[in-house]
Amino acid sequence: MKPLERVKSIKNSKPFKIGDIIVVVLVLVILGLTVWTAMRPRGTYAEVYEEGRLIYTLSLDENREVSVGGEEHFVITVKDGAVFVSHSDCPEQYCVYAGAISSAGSMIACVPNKIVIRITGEGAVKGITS
Amino acid sequence: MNKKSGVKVALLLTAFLSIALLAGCNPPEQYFVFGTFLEIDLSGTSAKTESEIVERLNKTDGLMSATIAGGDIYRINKAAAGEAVSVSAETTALLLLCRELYDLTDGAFNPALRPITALWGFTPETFTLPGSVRVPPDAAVIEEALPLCGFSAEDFTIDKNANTVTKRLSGAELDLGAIAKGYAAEQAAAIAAKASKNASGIINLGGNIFAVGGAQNIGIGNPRTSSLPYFGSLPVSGGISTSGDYQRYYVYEDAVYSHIIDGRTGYPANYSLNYPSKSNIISVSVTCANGAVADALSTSLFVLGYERGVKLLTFYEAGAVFVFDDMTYAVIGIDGFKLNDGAYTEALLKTPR
Repeated sequence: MKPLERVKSIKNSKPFKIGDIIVVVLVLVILGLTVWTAMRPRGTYAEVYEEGRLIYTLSLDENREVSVGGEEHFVITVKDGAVFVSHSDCPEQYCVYAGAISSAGSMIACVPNKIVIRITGEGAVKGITS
Repeated sequence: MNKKSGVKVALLLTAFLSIALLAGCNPPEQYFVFGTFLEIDLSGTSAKTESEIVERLNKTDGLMSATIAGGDIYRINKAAAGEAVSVSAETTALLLLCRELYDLTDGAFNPALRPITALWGFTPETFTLPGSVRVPPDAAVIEEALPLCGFSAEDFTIDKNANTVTKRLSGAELDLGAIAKGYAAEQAAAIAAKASKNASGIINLGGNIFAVGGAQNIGIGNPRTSSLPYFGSLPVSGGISTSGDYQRYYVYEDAVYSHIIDGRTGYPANYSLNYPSKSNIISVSVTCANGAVADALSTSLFVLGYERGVKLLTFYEAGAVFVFDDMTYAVIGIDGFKLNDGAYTEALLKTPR
């Protein structure tokens, strides 16, 4: 191909074919989703575990109340971006006295009821000694 | 053609990256053992290792618990005076460490206090709600129970060759609640480290933490203001345990009675009236390569106060973060402590270390 013809053919060809555009868009969407997942502010969900099994994932942006095993047993309240145990039938009541938690990695454990509430995400610390 | 395959590679890479990022958010496993919660937050371990840890801790709890029938401590507590009770080598070793701590602290750390903690309502069977109003036991009742609570070589004879324990007085009872969880956290960490060289993270047994695979950043629970979950943080490469006045306590006539009883007097460590030299510590966290020592020293330092505490830290090559009731704190023998809650300021103390 002579140099002049090559310039001409490049000028005439479309820079992208339709398939390429779809692939690029797909890549951008997946990249966007990945970045969103990675960058999403952590500590916005409370996970509730009973005997080590995840039973609820509660968004802290949504005020609500959930009962584990009946209302008289164990009630968890999400209010104004924080979560707390509003009622527990356990004798010790540590879980109730623990108050509200909202930061990533924070947790409330009710040992008698074998329930743990944990705020999702990696906190600045690996664990808390208390 | 080249452009297209380049795009394909990019697509594949993105997919891998996404999966890797999404998979990186595994929550730690939680269990309930040792009368508390156990969190295994480790990478590079298998489910088999985790179940091995849980099994091991249940076995240790069986030996060391004062309330599990048939265990070593349970049988010692039920035994009559002069009866030699056979125990495991593990129990013998931990009791000998208790003896050393009892002697070094002049009895401030005392594993034989169970008859008195029961009077104060701080044993599992005699529970009191945190912060609730309760009438403290009568001074005469405590005085009467105190002679039952010695842990000298005469009070409890430990035969380390025969692995037997013999008590001098019927009714004397042990409770390893101030040392066993730190001991067990280290035991769990050792299992994980042995199973895999790549294991990294923490074992958290009811707030007693042991690091696996190098130093981990650990927060110290906030003893006063509750808006921030931890008051400061530090890198920990062995064990860390905390004793504070803010978890188990009750109130009577303006006095706060916390669950940590001074082994010398039989009264709560922070109780001002009957206490010879009031401890003004509201929380103390101890780091040590030995998890049992970290746990036991946190109680000991809470009772003994800052100055004697610092001497003990030197002896055991341990470090500590003290928090005092005037919202000041002191860091001894620890590098890399970071304050998280501005409500606290550093104490102006001479650190003899």
